[in-house]
Amino acid sequence: MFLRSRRPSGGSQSSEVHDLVRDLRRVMPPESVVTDDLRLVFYGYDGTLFESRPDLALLPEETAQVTQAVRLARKARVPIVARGAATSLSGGPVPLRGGVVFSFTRMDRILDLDYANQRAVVQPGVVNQILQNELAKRRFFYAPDPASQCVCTLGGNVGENSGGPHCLKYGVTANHVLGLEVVLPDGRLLRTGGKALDAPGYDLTGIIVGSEGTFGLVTEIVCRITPLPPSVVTMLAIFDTLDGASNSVAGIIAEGIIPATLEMMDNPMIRAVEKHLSAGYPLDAEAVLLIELDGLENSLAEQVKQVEEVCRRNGVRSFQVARDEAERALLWKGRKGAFGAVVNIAPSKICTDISVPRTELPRVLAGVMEISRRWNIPITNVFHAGDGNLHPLVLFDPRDQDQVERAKKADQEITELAMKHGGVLTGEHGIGCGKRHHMPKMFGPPELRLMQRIKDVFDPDGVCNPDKVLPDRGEFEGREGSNDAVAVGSAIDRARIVEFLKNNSEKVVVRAGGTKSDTVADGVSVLDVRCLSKIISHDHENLTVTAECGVSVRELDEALAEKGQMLPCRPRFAHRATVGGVIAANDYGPHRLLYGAPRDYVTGITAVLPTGEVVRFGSACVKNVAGYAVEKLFIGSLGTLGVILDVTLRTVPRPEIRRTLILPAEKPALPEGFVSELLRSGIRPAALEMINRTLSRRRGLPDLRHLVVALEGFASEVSEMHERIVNMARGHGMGEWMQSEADYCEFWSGVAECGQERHVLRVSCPIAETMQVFDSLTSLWPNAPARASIGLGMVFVGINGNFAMAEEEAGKIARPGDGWVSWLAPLPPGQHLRPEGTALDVCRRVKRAFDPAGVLPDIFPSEEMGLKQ
Amino acid sequence: MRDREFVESELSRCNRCGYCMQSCPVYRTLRFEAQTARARNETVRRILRGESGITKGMIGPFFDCLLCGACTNDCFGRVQTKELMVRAREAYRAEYGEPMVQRYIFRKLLTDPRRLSMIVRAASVGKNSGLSGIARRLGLLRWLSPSLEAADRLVSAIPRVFLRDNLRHLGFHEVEESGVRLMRLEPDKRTRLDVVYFVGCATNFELPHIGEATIRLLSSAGCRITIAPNYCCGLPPYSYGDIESSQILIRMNAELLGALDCDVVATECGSCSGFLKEYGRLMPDSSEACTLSAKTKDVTQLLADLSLPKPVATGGTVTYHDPCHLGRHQGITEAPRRLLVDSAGMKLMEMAESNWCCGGAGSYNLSHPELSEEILARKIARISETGAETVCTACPACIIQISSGIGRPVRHVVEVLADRQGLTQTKTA
Repeated sequence: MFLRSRRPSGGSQSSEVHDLVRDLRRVMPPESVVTDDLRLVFYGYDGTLFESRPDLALLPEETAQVTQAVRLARKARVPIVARGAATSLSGGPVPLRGGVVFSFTRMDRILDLDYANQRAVVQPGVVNQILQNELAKRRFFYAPDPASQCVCTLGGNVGENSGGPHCLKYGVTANHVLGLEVVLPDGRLLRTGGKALDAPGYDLTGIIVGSEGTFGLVTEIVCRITPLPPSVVTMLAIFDTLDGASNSVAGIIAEGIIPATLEMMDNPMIRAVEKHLSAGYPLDAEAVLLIELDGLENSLAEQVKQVEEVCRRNGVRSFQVARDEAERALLWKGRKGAFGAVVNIAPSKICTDISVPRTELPRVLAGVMEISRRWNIPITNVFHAGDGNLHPLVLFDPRDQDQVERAKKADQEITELAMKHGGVLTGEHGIGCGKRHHMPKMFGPPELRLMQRIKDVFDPDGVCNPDKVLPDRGEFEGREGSNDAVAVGSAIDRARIVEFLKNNSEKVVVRAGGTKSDTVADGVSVLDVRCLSKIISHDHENLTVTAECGVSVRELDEALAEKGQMLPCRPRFAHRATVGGVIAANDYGPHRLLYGAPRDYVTGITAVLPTGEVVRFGSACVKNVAGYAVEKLFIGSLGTLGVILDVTLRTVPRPEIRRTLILPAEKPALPEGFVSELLRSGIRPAALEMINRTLSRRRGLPDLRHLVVALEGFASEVSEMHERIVNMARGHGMGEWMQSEADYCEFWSGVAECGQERHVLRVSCPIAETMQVFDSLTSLWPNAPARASIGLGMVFVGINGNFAMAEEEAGKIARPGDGWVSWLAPLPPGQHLRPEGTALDVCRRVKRAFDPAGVLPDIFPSEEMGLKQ
Repeated sequence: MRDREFVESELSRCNRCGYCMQSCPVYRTLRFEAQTARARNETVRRILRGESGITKGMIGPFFDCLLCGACTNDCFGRVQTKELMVRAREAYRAEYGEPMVQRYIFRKLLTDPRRLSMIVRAASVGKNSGLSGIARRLGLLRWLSPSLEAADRLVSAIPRVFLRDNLRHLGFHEVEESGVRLMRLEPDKRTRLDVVYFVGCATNFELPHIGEATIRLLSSAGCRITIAPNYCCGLPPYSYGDIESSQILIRMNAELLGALDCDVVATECGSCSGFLKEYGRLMPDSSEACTLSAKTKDVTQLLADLSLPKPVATGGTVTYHDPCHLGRHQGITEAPRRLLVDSAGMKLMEMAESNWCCGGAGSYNLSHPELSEEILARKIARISETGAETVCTACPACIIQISSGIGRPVRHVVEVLADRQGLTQTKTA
């Protein structure tokens, strides 16, 4: 055991801690080292009933202080626990085994507000709302908006992968955090990601977000900032039945409308709010639905009508639309006052957190009421109805110990209820210390063991926030796990793959459509997974689909079309590429601008590890922060970590219409101001690409550079975007746009494929530098097909030889630290991915955690090569 | 601890959710957890549960609080941490004793207006005179002013004539009612309202011109004004946790004023009006205290109700700072603004965080000079952002604090109003 044993509570400081304090005082100002008993109490609680006093608390202001302190703590063999504002509702920052609490509240500088590149760089102690206030001055926002945003810190948001009302449309923290600086428990500094997208290597940012401070201490965060939508409409619908409200939610989404927020309150909550605030809710109403749409003004009006229509069809009692800011505040009044209102029922509350498929909401709510009756404890509900994330408030009086016990029991049963309805342990509050013991109900021993191995990659000595997230090792080490993930879909073929891997010690490559594989070396077996070709389920009401890895993208898209939905991606080679391949390669086309990349829309993955263990991570719930986001590591792993059996993805409504606009854009015909104005306008094109002359010719366009724009959405929306883009271009004295006559899908897959070259070099850079990088690369390779995703900060060039030199040349263009050079799958022969600094070492160790015997291919330079450099 | 049941009931609503961090000026300035309301509550909770005695270290959580009440506003359960702090301070004083000087001020000076007046006057007459030395040692001036340095400047700024000295010149005449000598001013028009004007200490000793403005405004609006020899309202000892001293003052004021026949008791000191309104809650058994509380109105509230005539001059820009005791504690935020716009004809330029405490907080500037400065710095930054020509508020304590930081006089709403209503001339009897 690395950690020294915990001192008995109330006992005097151990000599290790005494020495540690002495050493720390040399590297930190005296007021930043808290050692007295009373103030230590304050660093031992959060928003739950858990508490535990640390040995000392530090309030660092610089990364260097954190690094030094972590090294000293390591020497003293004491745990280290990160803490932000400690608004956690899962016991996350409670130092269960004492040690050093790092409170980041004084490390709260906004380091960089880079509007041109749509990024902010902040220290972990920056309060979410304070960032929002700064951004709002320039009409930007940071999408994740947890209820506690007025006080919670971004470091805490990263630790818990926080959500909020807006995440239905905009996604959670993991979707908006693009880079981190982390002090690892051994004192090394790890940098992941950055302002540019898709750093080479595994998605370390993705797995650290939501790891609840068990991997290291985050000291810097790069996040995406988004222009505020030009217009917002708020609606309030009151229903006589819960079903009416639930069906309306389903109906709105079936219409293809994704509201910015969709908040619901049940009858007990309505009564509490009305009594407290007089928000104008009828006491006998069963549900109140608060709906907010955002977007372009004119087209919003039409969507509002559609929403009202849906609600009327479902028997809405009253439907109000806010006409101005004051009315908007009035409609929000009840929702915002909900937490205060319940104080009238009982002074204290446990704010629980579960996530279920949205269609299960009515049954889960009934179950919650049943629990409330059984334990004779009031429970009210206010929840994010759009994504199935519920927070039943269990109300009690802390002065009555019996009530406290009953409330705790009700809380536990609510978690179990969620599991029964296909839900997950936690949607956005985290596992912390309160739900650890439930983990074996959601994960089998193989998943828990893998998560433990990943934890060990970052924190081999177990000093980082101990006793959180994972249950005790005894719960899973050496235990057999039965995993029914094999028994679904193409069960026989799945079993065969598992058996093959269990008994295999040879090198293996995975292959399906073959669009991303290269020639296979001698002695390597090919594992063809095209046999896994079933679409397991398409839950159109919940906007998710689960499909086996061998299903082709086109086939899946056609299946989704039957329900008016589609995949949120238009990857390359859609006719042959398989879902598994797209995910394993983190492949995407120009439409990533609107729909995101696999890391944004994959919610679950089932895979076989090279050891033959079957693991399932994530779920069909859109919001899920139970355990580590291991699915993120599989995305873009290029088949090096395991064999993906099936994936669960978010689907999106099929747009009513799609339109391609083309503008010849020879230099200097593209004024810099146009692109930045477009990107800030709140117009959300589906794709925004610059294609060079070679690619233009291959797309049947004149021998010129072209700016091409894809617009998708409702007819009114697309027309409004079209008109505004034309006017904007006119304002910049640009030429006339053409509307493409070509088949939309065919045209855009051609663009995505970048001239169908086998090997495509990818240079990522800050958004505002995209055209500069594009110009430099196209002058290096004037005849190669090339495209630039202007809104993403990526340039792609088809290369057909001399790969090492190409990589080197491109490397001179992408500024180190601000951009990366890599390849779209497959990697050209002899090429590797080269994460920078500590990230390379961590990626290698991740690889070993999944594939200790090295059965699957390696994509990083071998360690000897690394040493030579 | 006093009022145990009340304290426990407040604590039962604190979930430690942390929303109290949102606008606490002390926390936002320092960002130490000990400066959050939940930590202050937690400290009290530990004492009540018997997990800890009252330790010396608790001086931080208990006495660093401004009692501004911002946390209660942000709290779902509206836990009144500032009330808990008053009781905790009392318990702390009981454990570790109270400074002699404070006790002398609270018990001997505040209860004896003549002696108080003498000491303050002595300070103003000569800096080096023996009495002024005593005054300074008593910390009395510092109690009224942000820092010792500022206190010295203040000494020369203290008017030679206090408000009470000047009442005859303002047209008051002496009357006697039930054995009490009162000063009275009859309005020239028909009397609409009988008002007892409560003279606060800061107005009387430091800012008498504010009192004069109040008197002119009320008089011209048709109020018959009566001034009684009232005592300190009791808020200073209360804030220090000397609840007994405050109760003595409450009782003395209640007996004096509660018996007077009037429609309204008014004062332009937001702190006094706020505390007078608390009398009934603090001494529910005293019918005079309850009556007094029920009759109390802040002058801004009263003037807004009286609907003043149009201003004789208009123009100019103004920004308004909400005093904690007026805005948050009494909920009066609209009236002063409406007066500035409608009755003074000024353009209101709202500052951000207008209810962010100025850091004056009674004598916080004395006990926590540096922190008080930092809290004030933020207020001043917000004021500067507006670019308004005039800075206005409605509490003498805030006027003194903000003026000291901003380097130009901050005006009370009544001053601006009196100017704009053409009431600058001293009225003669």
